[in-house]
Amino acid sequence: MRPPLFPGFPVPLILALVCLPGCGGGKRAGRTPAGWTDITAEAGISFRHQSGARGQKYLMETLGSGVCFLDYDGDDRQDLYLVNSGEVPGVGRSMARNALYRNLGGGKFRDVTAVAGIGDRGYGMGCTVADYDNDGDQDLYVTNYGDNRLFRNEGDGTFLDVTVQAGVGDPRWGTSSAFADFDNDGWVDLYVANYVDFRIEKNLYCGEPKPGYRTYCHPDNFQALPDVLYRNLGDGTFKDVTREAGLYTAEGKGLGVVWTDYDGDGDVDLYVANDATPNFLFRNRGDGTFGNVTWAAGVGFSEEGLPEAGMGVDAGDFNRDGRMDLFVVNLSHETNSLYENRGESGFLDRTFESGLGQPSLLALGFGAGFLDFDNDGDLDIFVNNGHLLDNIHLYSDSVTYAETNMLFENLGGGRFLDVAGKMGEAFRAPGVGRGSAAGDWDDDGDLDLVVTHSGRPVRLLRNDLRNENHWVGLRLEGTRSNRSAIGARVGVEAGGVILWDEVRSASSYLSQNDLRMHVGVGAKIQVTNVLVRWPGGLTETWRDLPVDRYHHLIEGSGESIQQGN
Amino acid sequence: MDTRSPGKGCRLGPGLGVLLGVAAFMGSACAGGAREEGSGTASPPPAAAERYDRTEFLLHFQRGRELSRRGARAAAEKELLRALEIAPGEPALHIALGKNFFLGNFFGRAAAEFQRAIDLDTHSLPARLGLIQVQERLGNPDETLRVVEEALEMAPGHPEVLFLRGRLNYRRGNYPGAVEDLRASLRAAPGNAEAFFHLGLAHLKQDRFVQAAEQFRETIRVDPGHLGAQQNLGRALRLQGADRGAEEEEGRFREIRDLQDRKRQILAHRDEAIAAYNAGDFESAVERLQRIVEVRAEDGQAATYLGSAYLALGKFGRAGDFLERGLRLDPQNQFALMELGRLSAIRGDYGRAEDLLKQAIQLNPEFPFPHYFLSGLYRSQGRIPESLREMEEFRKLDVPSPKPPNGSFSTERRY
Repeated sequence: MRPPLFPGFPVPLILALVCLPGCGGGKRAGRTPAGWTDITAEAGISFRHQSGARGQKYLMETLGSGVCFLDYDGDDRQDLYLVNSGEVPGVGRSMARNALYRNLGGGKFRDVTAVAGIGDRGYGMGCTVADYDNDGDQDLYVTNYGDNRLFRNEGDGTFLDVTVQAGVGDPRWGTSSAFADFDNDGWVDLYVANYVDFRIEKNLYCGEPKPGYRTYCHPDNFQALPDVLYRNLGDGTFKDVTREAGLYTAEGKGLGVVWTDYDGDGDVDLYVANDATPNFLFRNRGDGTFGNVTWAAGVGFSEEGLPEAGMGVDAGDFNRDGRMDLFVVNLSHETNSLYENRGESGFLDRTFESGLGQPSLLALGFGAGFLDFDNDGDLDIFVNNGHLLDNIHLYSDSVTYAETNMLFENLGGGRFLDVAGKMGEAFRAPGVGRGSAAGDWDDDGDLDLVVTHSGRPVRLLRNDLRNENHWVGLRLEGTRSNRSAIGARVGVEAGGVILWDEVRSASSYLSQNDLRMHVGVGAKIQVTNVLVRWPGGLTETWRDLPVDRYHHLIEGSGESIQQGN
Repeated sequence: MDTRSPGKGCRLGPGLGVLLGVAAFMGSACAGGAREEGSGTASPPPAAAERYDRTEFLLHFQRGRELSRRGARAAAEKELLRALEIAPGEPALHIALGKNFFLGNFFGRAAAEFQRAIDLDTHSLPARLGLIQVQERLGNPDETLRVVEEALEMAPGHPEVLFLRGRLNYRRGNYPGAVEDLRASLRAAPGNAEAFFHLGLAHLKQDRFVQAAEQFRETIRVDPGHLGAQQNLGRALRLQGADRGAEEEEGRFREIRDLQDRKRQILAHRDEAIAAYNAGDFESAVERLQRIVEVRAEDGQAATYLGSAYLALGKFGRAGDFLERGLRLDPQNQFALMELGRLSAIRGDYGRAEDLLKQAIQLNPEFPFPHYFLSGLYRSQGRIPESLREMEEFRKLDVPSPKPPNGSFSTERRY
């Protein structure tokens, strides 16, 4: 028999705490002035993505790349790792490299790539971060079109490429990847999504046979590649357990990945966004294997029963019912998809009635994520848009290559409204959006964004809304559980409301958010209780935490809650 | 005015030399009849009609619509614009242009053309139906609703418009409004699978799982391959706790999907191949079609296209092989018959050519092109009266575009 949802918390009590009468009082306490500021140049970041595009329309040229927030030097400031692509392998010799920017504080970053030894020159796609060896610093995994790389943080400001000894150098076309401890043995494991079997020498001509009309080919033209689950053996090596875990399938063209405990049973499940093929939901059975529950859960297809072009993906409790919902972004002329978690009976597609359907019809989303950008206590949604085809104007007069970001404010009652137009010019500046990550890099208590663009400079967008809402930041550290606490389920109770979230590694598209948890609590000035269910099974609580600051919660240092209490 | 009278506008000569090029065949649909399906605005205003050469207009109009139907959007646009030069006040032309732009994903231009048609004919329902669908695709629910309301004012109780408003209400989260409209639409037109489907969805979102399941079953009764209904029937059963029934329906959904997936993989290349053929890139078409017929030996249409492409490239041996194969797989394939007739004429086998072209006409007397080629064949044999008769038949033929189901347009899947 599986352990109960939250040991010590009877389920009815938890649900009752989710939204007690009057819980709307947590909404906005002050005015929300518009404004995000593009701080990229001022912060000292000069990274520009290079795609290597030369007109031959090699498919990988249009899909990169990602970005990760991490604190590589343990100074409690969020640094940035930016993945670059460069010249197409076999076509040109690439001088492009990935870049690590150290957060110096005071709004400044410095490129420390060379010193850190982490400037991978592979044809880069994405990244994910976790302390895979539990030695107290954050390590980095990079996916490429070609061999992926695992960089071990040496704890002295440098990284060592340990790909070969770790056994995680998949040479195929890796896209999104994410760490999580699927077997709760205290070591984070690694899932890597692979895309399609595209080879330079077998490139096709797609599009109309006229000068300038050649386009990137639809993925239907290429075979899907199976994804990989690597189990961390705890000795610095990983083992490919894809087949024995029941995850092997050659039917998905993976682009987005998120680990989330959608059924609340204490182990992480896996959702994969696939391009032009059904998305996958794999339920963790708790015995080292997974069951593909996509069909029963109703999260593989659009409402019309069609597979869509899944790109970025995230999980979050948008309706504050204590269950993790799913959000996936798709191609233009499709909508983005919001799936409401209905518990045992699976999910329900809430795309249109939530207000997320119509505005996304002409947009092509890549980076995406839930975030509470205004600290009002509910999850909003960000989408980084940009088309795949650089000559889309020849094929459509209503879709453009460079597109604008979207920011959907959660209005409550399951409704969202795109408020990007009120967020300032920098926020709405068109770009060819790809990866995106949210993190409070200036530690001022609101979530900022970093967005990448194909063949263009990265943008660091500082959240300057400066409303009067309160927040709490939580940095979790596992002791029995994996040290990054990935998979920990956290309930923040303030004013009679519990806001649930999870510590996750990568999500969005090829990217990873700040590993710290950030929770807006609106007008409340006290967090009465923080409940943490660690991946190792321990449930603890911390009481009466002051707001507007970060707290470091170490497994075993809270008040333990025993089952039945 | 007799819209079917032959005129001087058909410029293409019927000589046998023309028969050699498929491109010439593609561009020689010289037929008349400005009939806008379901429009009620079939004929232009008499005053306008008197001002231009009706036959010339019809030639370009029909050719443009046929090209559009075949996916040759740029060529269709050229023909329709030529017709517009001749008859600038013709609403049906703007509707045809709107549809052509819509099918080519040029929604902005499509909207402008439908609006122009409305400006010219304020009572045009087809123009409004087109505009509604464009605005939906552009993600403009308020504008969509405005046009829907206009259309309903003009045609109260029109089932198609009621369906569109019901679907719009559903998408705006107005479930009671959706249910009301969709039920009204189904009372007037009980065979609309999409109306049943959206009615089911509206019930589903209100947690009326039993009613939802009923409507999804109705959808499947009307359209057994309806993926959305099959998927959501499983969801409705799952949500009412009928797990066993849900599993069965999910299994059916999976079966249908798997089948469609396999087809889609092939069709992905097939669409490109046919697009290459339509664009006159016969080398590329041959390369792709050859792969398709290797993995899908039963695809008579692909074999016929391949034979026709070989014919255009002057590879008559292979052309004959694949055209014969296409005809064997689909004896009713009038295109294969016609192309084989052309091939026989090229090879000097006039008797067989005549026989094949007549068979093509017998299968579909409204297919204009066999008349055209038969006319050329007779002319090359000095059978002038018969040649003239066939050419007249060719000119008289009206080739209406098939009306899509539920009045919706379909678009090919691409980025």
